[in-house]
Amino acid sequence: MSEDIISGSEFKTRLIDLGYKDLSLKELELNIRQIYMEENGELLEADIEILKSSDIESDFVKDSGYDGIAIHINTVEKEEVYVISEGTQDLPDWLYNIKAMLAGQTIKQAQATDVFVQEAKEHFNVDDNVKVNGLSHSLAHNNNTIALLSFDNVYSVNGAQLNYYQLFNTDFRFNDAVKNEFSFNTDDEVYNLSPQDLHDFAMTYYGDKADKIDQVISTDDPLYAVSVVRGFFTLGSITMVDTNPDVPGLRELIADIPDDVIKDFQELAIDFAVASNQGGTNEGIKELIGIDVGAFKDKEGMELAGHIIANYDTMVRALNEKLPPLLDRVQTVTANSDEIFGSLEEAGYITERQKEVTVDHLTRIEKSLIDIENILKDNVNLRDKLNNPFLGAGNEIVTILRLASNLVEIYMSYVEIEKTGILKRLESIKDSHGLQEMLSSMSDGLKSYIGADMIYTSTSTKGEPIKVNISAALRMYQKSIPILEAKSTKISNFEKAIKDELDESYKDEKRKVQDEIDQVESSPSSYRFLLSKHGYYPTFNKEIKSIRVHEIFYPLEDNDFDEQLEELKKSVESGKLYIEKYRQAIEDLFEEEENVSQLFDLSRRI
Amino acid sequence: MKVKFIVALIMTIFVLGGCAMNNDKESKSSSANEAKEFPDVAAFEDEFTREFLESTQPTREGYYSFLSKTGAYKMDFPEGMKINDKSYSIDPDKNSEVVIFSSQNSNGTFIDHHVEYYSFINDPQHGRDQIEGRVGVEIKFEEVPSNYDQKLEIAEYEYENSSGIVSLITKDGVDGQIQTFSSLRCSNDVEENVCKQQIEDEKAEIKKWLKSIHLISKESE
Repeated sequence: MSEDIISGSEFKTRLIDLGYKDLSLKELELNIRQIYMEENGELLEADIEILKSSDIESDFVKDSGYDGIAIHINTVEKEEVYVISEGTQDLPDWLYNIKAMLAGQTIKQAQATDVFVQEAKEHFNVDDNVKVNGLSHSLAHNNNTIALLSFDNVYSVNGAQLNYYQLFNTDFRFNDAVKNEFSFNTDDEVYNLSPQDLHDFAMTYYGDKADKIDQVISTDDPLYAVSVVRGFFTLGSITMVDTNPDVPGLRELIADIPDDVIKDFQELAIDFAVASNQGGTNEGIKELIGIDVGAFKDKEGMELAGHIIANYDTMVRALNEKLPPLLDRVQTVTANSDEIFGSLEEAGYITERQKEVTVDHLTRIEKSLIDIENILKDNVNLRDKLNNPFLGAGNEIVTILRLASNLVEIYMSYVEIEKTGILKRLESIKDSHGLQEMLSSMSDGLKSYIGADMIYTSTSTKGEPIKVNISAALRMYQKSIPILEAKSTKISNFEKAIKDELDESYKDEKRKVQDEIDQVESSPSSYRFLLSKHGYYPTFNKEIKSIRVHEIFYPLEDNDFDEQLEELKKSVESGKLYIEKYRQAIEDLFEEEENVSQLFDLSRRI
Repeated sequence: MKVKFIVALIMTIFVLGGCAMNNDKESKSSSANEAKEFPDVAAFEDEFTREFLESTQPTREGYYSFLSKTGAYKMDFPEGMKINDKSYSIDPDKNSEVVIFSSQNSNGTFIDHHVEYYSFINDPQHGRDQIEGRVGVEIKFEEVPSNYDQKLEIAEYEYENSSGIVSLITKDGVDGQIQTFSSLRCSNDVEENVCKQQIEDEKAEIKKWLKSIHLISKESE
């Protein structure tokens, strides 16, 4: 089998990254051509057609939560389709998906992926012989591999792994094989099997699919770490990359902690991480307890009391809803906090002080949460007894006071935990799930990456190696020319305008005067009336025989813009010169065989 | 400062009155008592399955009325089966729902039904392709008359030790579709001939049952 049009982990990862940017079809195409040129050192001689999932049926993306881009590349000799799946972007949907996936439930996203691939093939009018490659990050890996029937192969970065319970409910041949292997008859019995046996069976059963799946996973990726819990198996050819060499990765730490503890911690972490990803740490806390603690900040005394009172109703409602599940999970975490935070400390994720303060304050938070739960319970019970929502002010005062003091305690504990900087430390864990940290650790000889840009490192000079952002340099080179050309056009427009408005109109006016003169000179008789002031009586018989005009046209002054125009033209020239010098300077840093010069030339032709 | 704090609290309480916190849950009478009022069948014994059943009156012999939690469809629910809450899933916006239910005690044949609803899959061809993909063998759909104004297409397949019936339910003018997967197998101690006959009988019953599934158009709600 000949090589795919798009090959190499770096290229694929950059392409997946492209999917997250909100680009128009034209921009997408240009970016694809640009990355191809940067990675391969040649132009992509092919037709490119692109379909976004948002461009198919109106409700598809909204209802399915599927977000993806299909790219049809046709080089005449070869035709391929690439589908970049972003999984879900909508927050509640993401949460639903990851939780349902952890429980081995959802296949909705896989079904949606499949629909999109089919739609894309119809749209591009390609048949089943055209290879369809899946590119995915995070949750989308799970969807793409479940929907593997739609894909000839799947390449993923930091993917959410396959879950064998999920496959048991999706793939009926596997379902049948599991029942045969373990001699049971109905679906619900699958949960009684030993997870290890099921894991091993799934690995063997899907073994032949493994060569269709290529995965690059960061050892520091939190999603990889949590896939150690029951249900998951890692299929395909896997390349592990240590994207954050400062820490050993979470998976080993997690392997030591019991399954159900992980599940609780996981849910806490997912809620927190996803919410704080969207709106910062305060949003993360709000997601957990339903209360915007950020609003407490910088308030004290009366102001704080006022705030609590003003939001009392909303707070109690939110607490009532969020508290019971939160308390359950917090209790699992506090019961195991020495293990969890101890191993985080050991591994260097957090400091000893951070550990101590956090464990101490988590216990206090737990105590406050239990208190709040009891208060709410008492309150509800009392209402039931009295059968009266207006409980009497006395009781409400006590309730409010007790709730408020507990909320303040929780907030204070939160502030203490935050002060240690532990949350910031833990946030770096999240970066290890992203594409950019992965790209940054991918390097090949002189090539490396920062963000999604390609970097060349020059070693030809003495001293420290020089890193050059080639993507940025090419962008600048590429974009400067159209800008300078536009400037050039403007200048010649200006030149023309001067000619039109001054020179031409001077000539025009002069011609008009000259015409008038000619007319006067050629028909002197028609000017006889000018003699009328000399009398009109009948004997009057004078006539005009000829008129001669002695004209003097003064030349147009102050119409010489040559100097200014020259200046402007020069600025374009010097701009071009500057850009070329800049190009030369970069080229000089690298050896000829590194083809930097060629990249500059090619970038102009995209 | 503390005194002021408390005064402010008390003052506000009168303003607030008792408006806070009113989402007391309805107290449920003990389920043990309730269970006695239910028909003595597996479907009603299971608390989770009960949440879907609309009435204790059978729709026909052996079946009770089931309303999906998305509200997208209704069907007859076989009395001897139970929904597995571990594999049940409904997404937050009610755009998809997967219900899996299995026979509880059997006379030798075991059946699992998967009823899956997707609001975002409209094209019947996509549905047929997906179903075929998931059973992994070539199948041929045949349209059969449905009890309702909708299209019911059924296909059968055979594996070495089990058989299956799948179906696709679509309705003109209604978004979404239902895909169903039913698999049947005999327990090991049943003789092959007996098994064959039982499977055939059950298949006929399932084909009848599939006709009871119907998409609810949003307009008629």
